[in-house]
Amino acid sequence: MHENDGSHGLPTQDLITRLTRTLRPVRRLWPPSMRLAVFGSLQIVVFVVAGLTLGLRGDLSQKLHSDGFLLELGFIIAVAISSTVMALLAAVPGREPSRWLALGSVLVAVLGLATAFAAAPWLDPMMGHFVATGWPCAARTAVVAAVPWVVLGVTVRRGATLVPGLAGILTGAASFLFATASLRMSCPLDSAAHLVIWHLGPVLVGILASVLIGSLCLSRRPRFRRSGSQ
Amino acid sequence: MLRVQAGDREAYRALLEDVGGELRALLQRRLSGGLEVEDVLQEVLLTLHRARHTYDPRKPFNPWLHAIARNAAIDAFRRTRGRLRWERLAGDDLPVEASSEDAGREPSLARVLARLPNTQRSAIEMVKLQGMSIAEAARRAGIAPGAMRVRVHRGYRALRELLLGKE
Repeated sequence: MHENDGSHGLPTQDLITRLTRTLRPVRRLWPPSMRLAVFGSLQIVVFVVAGLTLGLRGDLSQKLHSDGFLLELGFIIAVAISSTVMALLAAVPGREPSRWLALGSVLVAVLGLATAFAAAPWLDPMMGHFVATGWPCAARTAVVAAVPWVVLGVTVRRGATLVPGLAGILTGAASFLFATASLRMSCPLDSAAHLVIWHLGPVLVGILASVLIGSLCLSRRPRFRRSGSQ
Repeated sequence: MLRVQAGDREAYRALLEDVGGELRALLQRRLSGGLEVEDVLQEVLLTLHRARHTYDPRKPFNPWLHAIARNAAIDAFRRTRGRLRWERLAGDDLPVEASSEDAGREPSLARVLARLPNTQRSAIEMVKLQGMSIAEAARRAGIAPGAMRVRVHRGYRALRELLLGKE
């Protein structure tokens, strides 16, 4: 092997010796399909618990007969599932989704939601209490998203993603979109202003926070140190 | 790799030495020689170590390994994008000695190098032409590695100006 020093301050051969000496058996990462099944089960539990604790909107059975509402829910859940799959794949080197596909699907989700929400009437009988009726929805979205977000983040962290920022976006999109779907079944307000600000807003904030946290916490790669500091 | 995941150290050493040679050749084609290649190679080996549990034995090994190497190389390229551009210009794409046909049309590297200050010229020669690491070149010159980096950087900058005719 080559004897040059690297940035880590020791010859490559010495690094190999050190890595060999510290080798321990490892538990292999579960395949993405199995991790998806586990996360999906958790998500179902969260849906049920959220439904029991937050309650369901009074007109849910009527809403479930509306094509528009079903399409909206199906769209949110489909993008949330695809974001979950891509986040789990992003944890494995060589299996990362295409950056454009991943970012494109999140963008389509946000734009699709914005379009669907904005299509509702903007005026609301509760408009006088816009903030008072709105902020609990944002807070509930964050609470419902919290556990899946942490679990998915830990699951991705358990892998070895080479694209931590992208994995963060996908983790945020998956958990906050599932939470939004859950909130749509409990929140009775359908005005565009309420949906855009208090339902879509938390999704955007969650995704942005996930990018930052993902970039910092999801990578397992060694940090580069300049040889000048050896 | 299965044996590595089970903790077999002999298999691990053989694997690292095996992929080390292959990766060095791959990285030398993508990056300039010397220190940067060893830096990136070591990053790849460390990442391989930390990511070894993610390898799925049902999938081929090379795409997994090459994804790690490609990312490390891209990161290295981003870190030193400006420097690499001039390293290629000064080192890889130009002949050290110009042919008689070229004389008078393109400045040869040897002629341009001769116009650099002694400290910068010897820094470029040791690191770029002889393939020494920064640490090795710094030891040889009796200066700190950081100072050697500065000399190499200034040497590249001066070379760039000379090669582009900004004298």
